[in-house]
Amino acid sequence: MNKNEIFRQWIRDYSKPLLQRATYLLSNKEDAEDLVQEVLIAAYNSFENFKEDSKPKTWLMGILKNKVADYYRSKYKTEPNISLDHFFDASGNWKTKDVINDWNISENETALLNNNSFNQTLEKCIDELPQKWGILVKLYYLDEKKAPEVSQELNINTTNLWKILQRSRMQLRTCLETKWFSVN
Amino acid sequence: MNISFLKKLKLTCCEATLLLEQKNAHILSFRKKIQLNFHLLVCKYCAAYNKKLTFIERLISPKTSEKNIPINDNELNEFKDKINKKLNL
Repeated sequence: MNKNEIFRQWIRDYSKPLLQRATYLLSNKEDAEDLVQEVLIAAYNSFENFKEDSKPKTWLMGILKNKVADYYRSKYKTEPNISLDHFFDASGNWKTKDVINDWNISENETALLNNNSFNQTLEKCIDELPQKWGILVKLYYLDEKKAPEVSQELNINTTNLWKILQRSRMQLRTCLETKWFSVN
Repeated sequence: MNISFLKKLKLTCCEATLLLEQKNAHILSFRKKIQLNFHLLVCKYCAAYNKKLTFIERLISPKTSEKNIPINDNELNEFKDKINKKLNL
C-alpha cells in the first residue's frame, strides 16, 4: 500500500476514536473536530516519522495529546489562580460539614459501579468542571497520574497542578453529594 | 515533646486535602505521610472526605468515559470526507 492508501484506511478506522478522545478531553465538539483535523494533517505531513512496527492508533493518539497540550497552552497562558475559599474558611477548616454524610461505600460500591444512571451523573459532574481544569484532570488520568509529565506538557507549575486537582475533586465530591447521594 | 514541635506538624483541613491528592499519586514524603495520617486520625471530616476520594479515584476511568461519547454517524462520514478532500486522497 502506498501512503495515500494507508491514510485513507487510517481515516476510516481511527477518526471515531480520535474524535471521542478529543471531545472527551476538550468537552467541546467543534474544537474537538478542528483538533482531530489538525492531528490527521500533521500525521500525514510527518508520515516519514511513523515506525512501521508501532501501532498507528497509538501514534495518532500521541499526536493528539501534543495538540491538546498546544491548545491548552495557547488558550490558558497565565498560571491559574485557584481559590479554595468556597470550601475552606480563613483558618483552613471545612465551611460546610456535609462531607461527613455517609455514602455507604463499602456496601454499595459494586452496585454503584454497575449503575448506569450513577455513571451518567459522575460523567456529568466531570463535564461540569471548567474546561481549564477538566482538560488537566482528564490528562492526568490518561497519563496514569504522572503529575510531572502533565505539568510539563501543559506548562503549568506542579504546585498549581496539585491545587487544580484538589479543587476539581472538591467540586466532584460536592456534585456527587448533591446530585446523587442526597437524592437517592 | 514540646508544643511548638506539635504545632509544626499540625495541618489544616485545606492542607490535608491537598496532601491526599499527592498520596493517591504516591509521591508523599515520609514526614508528610505521618502528618497526614495523624490529621486523618483526629479530623472526622477529612477522614470522611478521604473515603469518598478513594472511591471517586476508583471510578474515574477515561478509557471507559471516552468510549461512551456518542458520535453521530452522518457527521462522522462528513468528517472523513472532509479530511480525505483536504489531503487529496
